Amino acid sequence: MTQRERSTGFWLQTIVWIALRLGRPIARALLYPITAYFLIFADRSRQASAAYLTRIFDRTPSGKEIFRHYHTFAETLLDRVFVFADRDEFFQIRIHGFEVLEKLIADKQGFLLVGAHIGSFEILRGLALRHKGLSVKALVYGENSPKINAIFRTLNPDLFKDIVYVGSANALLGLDEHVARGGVVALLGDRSVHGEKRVLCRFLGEDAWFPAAPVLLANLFKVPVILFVCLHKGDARYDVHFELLADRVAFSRHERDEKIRDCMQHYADRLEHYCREAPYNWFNFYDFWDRSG
Amino acid sequence: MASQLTPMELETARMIVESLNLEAVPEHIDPEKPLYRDGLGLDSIDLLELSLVISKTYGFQIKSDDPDVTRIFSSLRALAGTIEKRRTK
Repeated sequence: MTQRERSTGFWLQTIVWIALRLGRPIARALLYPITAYFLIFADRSRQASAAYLTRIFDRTPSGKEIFRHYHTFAETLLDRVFVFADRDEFFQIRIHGFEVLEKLIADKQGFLLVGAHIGSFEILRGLALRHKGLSVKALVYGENSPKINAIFRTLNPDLFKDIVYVGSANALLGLDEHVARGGVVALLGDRSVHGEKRVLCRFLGEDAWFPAAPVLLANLFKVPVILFVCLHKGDARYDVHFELLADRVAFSRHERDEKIRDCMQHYADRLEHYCREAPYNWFNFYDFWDRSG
Repeated sequence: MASQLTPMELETARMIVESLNLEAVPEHIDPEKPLYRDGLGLDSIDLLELSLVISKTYGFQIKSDDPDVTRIFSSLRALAGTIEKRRTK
């Protein structure tokens, strides 16, 4: 373990302790110095934030705006603690488009839920779906922050038992049966993983890599694809949006590439829409448009 | 070059190439090399698709909690052997 990881772990544990013992207002006040600390030391993330905000605002962002971007991320991380610890009474969550899901759930029709690193997808996992008695399996590519995950797992092991770590030959076997029984498979569609199939889509003015996985899985399962985002709208307010991305994905081999591109481009367009609605909710703090890798 | 594959290995290789639309030539696939990642370069979605094709064609399922699952996909030879042993049609 590196020095840095060790200290991140220590600080995380401290903030979790403060949040649960001393309460959300005190923990939220502490987010200001914590955000400042990370902004000073994380050069690359700061550059990534500035590059993204430049595209959104069509001008160079101020230091204050970059700070706000980071701070919004810190706020959602903190709220995750409360969701995972089952202390979610103070959240004000507005849900849009739930009727899209209601029909599928009533018909016991399985579907694919495709989210993004926008706002807080964990809020959704912790709240909306848990209360609906839906069986959701979440696909996770790699475990990129084991320390953070370990702490959240301690808070609520139940939320992690349905995570499928993609990264072994057999990871996805049997998911078709889960969906056929009316189960849901959730994944995030805005990170392409090296070695997996991917497609270039226009996003905020330039092509970027998106994974083909959402479309490929939907085609194998023959199920609808639903987009979900959960935007943080200040303090304890969250706006959840569900949208039908594709009613039923089914294509022949020769249309495959075209369908993948069309569907993921539609997804990228919707992400762009939500980024413009809530600019500080974009949480991919790396060079998203880097096509070299 | 004469293929070193047994008839079942060749049948399996053709099924893989055909169903996943690979550019590889079935006869030239090395039966000892892994199918996943290095080797034939398949990813986990390819293997899911392959398991569905196998279930349809040969009438048996490969589940992720199968104790043998890592070995089954470890090479063309292992997969062909499994199909021969477990097929119901």
